[in-house]
Amino acid sequence: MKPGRWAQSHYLQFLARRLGHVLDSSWRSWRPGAPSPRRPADISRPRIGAVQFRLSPVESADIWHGRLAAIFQRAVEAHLNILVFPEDMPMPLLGVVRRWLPPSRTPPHPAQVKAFLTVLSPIAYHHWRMVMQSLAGHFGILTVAGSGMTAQAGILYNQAVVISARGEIIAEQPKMHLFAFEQEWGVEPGPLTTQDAGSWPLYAVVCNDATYYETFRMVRHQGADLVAVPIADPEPQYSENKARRGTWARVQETPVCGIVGAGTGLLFGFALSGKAGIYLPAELTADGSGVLAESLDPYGEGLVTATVDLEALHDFQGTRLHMPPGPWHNLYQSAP
Amino acid sequence: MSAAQFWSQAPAPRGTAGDWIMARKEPSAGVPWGPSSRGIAATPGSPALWVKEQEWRPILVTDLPCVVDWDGVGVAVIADGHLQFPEISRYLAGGGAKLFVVADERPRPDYRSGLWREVQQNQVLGLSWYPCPSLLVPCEMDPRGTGILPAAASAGPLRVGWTWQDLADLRSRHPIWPRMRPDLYQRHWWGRT
Repeated sequence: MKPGRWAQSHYLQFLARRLGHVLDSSWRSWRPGAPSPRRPADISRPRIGAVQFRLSPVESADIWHGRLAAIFQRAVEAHLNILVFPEDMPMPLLGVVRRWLPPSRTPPHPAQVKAFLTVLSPIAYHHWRMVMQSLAGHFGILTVAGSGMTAQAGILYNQAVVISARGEIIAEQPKMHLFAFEQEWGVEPGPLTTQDAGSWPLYAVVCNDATYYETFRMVRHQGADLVAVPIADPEPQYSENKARRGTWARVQETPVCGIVGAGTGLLFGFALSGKAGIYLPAELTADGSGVLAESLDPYGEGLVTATVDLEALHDFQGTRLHMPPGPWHNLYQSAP
Repeated sequence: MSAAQFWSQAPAPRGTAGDWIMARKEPSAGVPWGPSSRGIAATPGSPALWVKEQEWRPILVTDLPCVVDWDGVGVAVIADGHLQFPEISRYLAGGGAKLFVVADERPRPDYRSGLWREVQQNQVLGLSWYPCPSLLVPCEMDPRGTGILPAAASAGPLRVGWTWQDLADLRSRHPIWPRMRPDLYQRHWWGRT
């Protein structure tokens, strides 16, 4: 079947109806458990959690809901104020229609992927956002729900969602720096949005955004002390060195706390690896590593937690030198 | 003598490959290296460079950071203090520098917060003594994924070698530069500082 016809076929509409029906009926019958009692939050010392989550497609939405609720329950028991999930969080939900997908021995054409994502990803995105709003509000945790693919006016974006402890959407932040395969699928890079997380100066960006130090300079300039980075690295073999090129490196240059939620598993042909972690400038960690907390296993699931001393971070930010004058004032006019 | 003057006298690499000697004996507490039989060395905590012509001798280089032409390829010579400002490396790499040398490079608790980091995020090469005498490369150019190609430890001086084409291929396979967003940087930060 040609990509264009595939995109216009009634088949995708059939899949969309099936996906919407399965997700809605599953969520209607699900109820979260009672949350544990909460401690009052210490604004200057937030308790933060970073989630490592297996993104392999699920055949039952109930299982996906249950896994998320269990993470929130653990977060409440650990007295967390902020929780950060990985990139591509709604993607596993597409697994509920996998049984109806045509079998193929070769990777789909990028145009087919684009058509598939344009029709189906908004349904999974909407469901994921609604579930996360319910859980964040129910458990009272400021939540970076991770990121998800969605389509707006036919254009695909991969965007993070930030949800208040009352369950309200604070921000939806599109990925600004895409991977090559995302561009092949027709995903577009987005702008930097304004993000007001209330009690804590938190900004969310997405995965490859942390490859560019400019991202952290920008959000720091907006006032961020905490930068959440949902990731899902298509690296079958985890490499600590490659991982250190991202958020860990960025917080050494721009003194903020970086919080990485990491996706693992096998997602539609992509083998993912990565560690959830919480990172600070090396000078602010007891062992000088710049690692406040980090998962031990880059392939499994887990929750890592830490308390971040924002006053110490502010003191350290005040000691940073200013850049010396030089010809770099026209840096972004001359950059390729 | 300026760094540019020094480099203008340095022997050119052969063909499209770099060939760099890293001397085993340090002139002081510094870290010597240099193209071919000439050498350039750094003394920690000092802007002075040691230069080997017939003998090692110190010179004060005052025009860092700079980019010098080495047989048609830009070599950035920077001071250790410049490494805490990624804008400077970005500027030099954006201007065409493909090899970075740090004049007064110092050890760090984690070498990955020094020149290694700038090598990765700008997709350039770097000559470093930390964590060992080595050529620093983007991780994808290293079969072990470390981004560190240790200098060969055969008899005589330590050597590192490379081909510029490998770097060009890497930039083509994993393009970082074309995905930059200068429009956003100008709007939200750079144009507002």
